[in-house]
Amino acid sequence: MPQTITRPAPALPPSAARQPSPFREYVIKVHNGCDLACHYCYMYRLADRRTWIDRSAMAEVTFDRAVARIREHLRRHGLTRARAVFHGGEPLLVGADRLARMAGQVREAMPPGTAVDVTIQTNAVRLSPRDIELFATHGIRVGVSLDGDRQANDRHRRSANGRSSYDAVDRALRLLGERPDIFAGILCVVDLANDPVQTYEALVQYRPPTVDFLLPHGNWTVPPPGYSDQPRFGAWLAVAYDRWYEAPARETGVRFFEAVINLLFGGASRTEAIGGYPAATIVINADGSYEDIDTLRSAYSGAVDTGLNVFDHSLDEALHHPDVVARRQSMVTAVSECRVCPVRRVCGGGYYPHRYRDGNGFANPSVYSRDLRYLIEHIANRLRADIARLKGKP
Amino acid sequence: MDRSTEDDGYDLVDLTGVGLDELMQLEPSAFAHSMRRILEDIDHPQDAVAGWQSAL
Repeated sequence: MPQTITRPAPALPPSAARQPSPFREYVIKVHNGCDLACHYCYMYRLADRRTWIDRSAMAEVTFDRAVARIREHLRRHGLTRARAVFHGGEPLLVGADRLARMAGQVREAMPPGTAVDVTIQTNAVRLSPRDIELFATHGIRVGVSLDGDRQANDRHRRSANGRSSYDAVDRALRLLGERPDIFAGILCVVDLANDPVQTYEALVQYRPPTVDFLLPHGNWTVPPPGYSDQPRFGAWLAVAYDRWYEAPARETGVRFFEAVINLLFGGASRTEAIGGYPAATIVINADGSYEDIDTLRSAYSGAVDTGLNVFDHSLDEALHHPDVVARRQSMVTAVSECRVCPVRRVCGGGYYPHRYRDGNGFANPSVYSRDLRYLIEHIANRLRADIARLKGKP
Repeated sequence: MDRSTEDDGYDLVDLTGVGLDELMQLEPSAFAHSMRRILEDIDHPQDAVAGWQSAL
């Protein structure tokens, strides 16, 4: 008798658990400065602009304390796998040699038997062939930010004096395309002015293992650019989805699309952007302060603050901070609009920072809820048609 | 039984009854890759923990 699939029980997001799960992802802001001045940058340009003023690098003593706190947290919770992300601003401003030393220091300090994946997310403007070799030697994976072809990328990702970043990033990506061992992929911020198919094809030419489309940050108080009462972002993403989905052979992974597919099949999401699965992530700022996910800077000034730091507090204290707990228990079942939505279990309320509204905080659907529903229904229809074909139905 | 939009309004896609043999013979498309990932998740369930979206 041929084997067939029986439906798995839907995975429960961690918010359903009583105890918060420990942090597994440590975002270390090694430098708060940046050599680009992207218009949509949540570190500099949105509601919380404090890093615009404080553009310092992380001091060595601060990094040492951060590593000690991570080790303490991993030991206490018996974790055997973790991920460290060197981020900014622009992490390459501290230099590739220092990043390689930092990666070594993190790994050496961890409890025996603990594997730590180390990644940098960079604008790649300074990423040289030597840097790539160095990162390969030290097992550091590299994610790059690019918004599409030259015209698309230059719309926002320019230096402070207006110079294009495209040529430098293009050079770096061509080199990374030859190093699948360390190439983590490409992050792309959606702009409705860019063509979705051209944008996808501009990214996939570099042979990234994964790309992701990020919606520009906004909320109910300050809606994203291009926002309207029509699901324009959802329609944009649906066109990109079709281009990706219809390729005869899979060209790359698209994190957001694959998360929606997984959720539609009753599985789990691996991105905090969809599904109500908050990230088990803590940000350690360049000054040593613990911060909640940094994209909350798009909501209001101070949204990331915990008042805790690596010198005086353990990561467990951050784990139990009321704002961190609130975000990680942010299922949308309490939001009446979501309770009656047919795609609520897939959407999960969308990305937490996108739910913000002055006056009632994050107890709202996503400002992108119309777009998310459009995209989810589009993907579901495509999948149902293919499943019917598999089952031999017309 | 197609439960995709029944009972609790759950807008899931129903895989019940899809043959594993058919899945294994699919071309290497995004659809096939997603199907195989679901099977891997069923066989090797992982903690439901999401990743931070601002890095890959």
